[in-house]
Amino acid sequence: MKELTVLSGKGGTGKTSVTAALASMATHIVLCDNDVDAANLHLLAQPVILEEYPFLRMAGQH
Amino acid sequence: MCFKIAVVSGKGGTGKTTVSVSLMHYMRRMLKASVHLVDCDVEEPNDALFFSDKVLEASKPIYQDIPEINTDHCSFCRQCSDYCAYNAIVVIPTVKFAQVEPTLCHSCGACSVACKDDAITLRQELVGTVNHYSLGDKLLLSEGELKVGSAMQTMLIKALKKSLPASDGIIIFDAPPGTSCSVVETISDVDLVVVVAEPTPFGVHDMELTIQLVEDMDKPYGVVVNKAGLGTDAVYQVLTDYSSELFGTIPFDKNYAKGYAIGQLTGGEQGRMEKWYKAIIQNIERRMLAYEGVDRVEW
Repeated sequence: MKELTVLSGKGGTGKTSVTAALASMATHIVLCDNDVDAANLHLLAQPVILEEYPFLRMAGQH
Repeated sequence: MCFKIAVVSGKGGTGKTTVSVSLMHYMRRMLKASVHLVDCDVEEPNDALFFSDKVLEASKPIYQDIPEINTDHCSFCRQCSDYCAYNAIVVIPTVKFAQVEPTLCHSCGACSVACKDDAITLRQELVGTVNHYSLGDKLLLSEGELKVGSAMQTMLIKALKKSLPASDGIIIFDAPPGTSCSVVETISDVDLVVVVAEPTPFGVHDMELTIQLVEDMDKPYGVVVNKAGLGTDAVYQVLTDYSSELFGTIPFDKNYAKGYAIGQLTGGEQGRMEKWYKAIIQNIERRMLAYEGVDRVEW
């Protein structure tokens, strides 16, 4: 498996657009939106949700 | 009285910096107020790029205290790692191992309090720099610049805010993108939040997250729709759903974007945006006056 990261310093340069464009050309691909503050890739990829679960932290952590 | 405004947006590239710099420019002129612009986007501060006439008046390095464990004094009781909320300390008593992971440490000091063996000393590590610039004859522009690789955005924003000179005018904080700690820190002590949104599906989605954050923090706010006329009208439906006030819109304009692309935001041809900013500033001023208990103003 090859892993590819799309990143930019400035916001709004087109990370999500480039990722979606690259994804549209691939056949076997796993897409991962790491912009957990404001994830947007699902708006373009429109996936069917198979699994969804809460991510918990240890009590006492900040 | 000092009035603090934070300019935020969930999505990057919606125009926080454009709106912040323009608000500063037009507020100085229209309200005859002293306006201090503070760039809290410490990972990528851009505000200063728009001021060719700035003079760097002061630059101060900001350090964090990183604990170090002296294993000669350590009894490997693990109190420090139990106290550490950030999982930054590893203690393995059987092999007499105790170490702090500096990239996880938030310099809270709990381990130093927890240690009964006097085994913890502190060393200083650079987090970033706070810069103050003057424009003309006054100090009016400040920024934090995070050291690449540091995860202490919040600490640097705190230090940046603490370093500001007393003001009886307006302070505009240009926030980082997103909805996490550094944005919360930027918003925490302001009197009004300006949410900058763009009318794209992404902009609308992230604006909604931002509105939820700002409402959760119980801060008064209003929305500026930037690049209006592009994309979708869904942005206005969300404003209705949340009963959010629209401070104003700034239309998408190719020529304006061209100016921005070479670093021009105000003056000359870019002045065509003035009327849109005037409407926004009138709405902001109404909120400022309500804050101060005054109910009318003459324009």
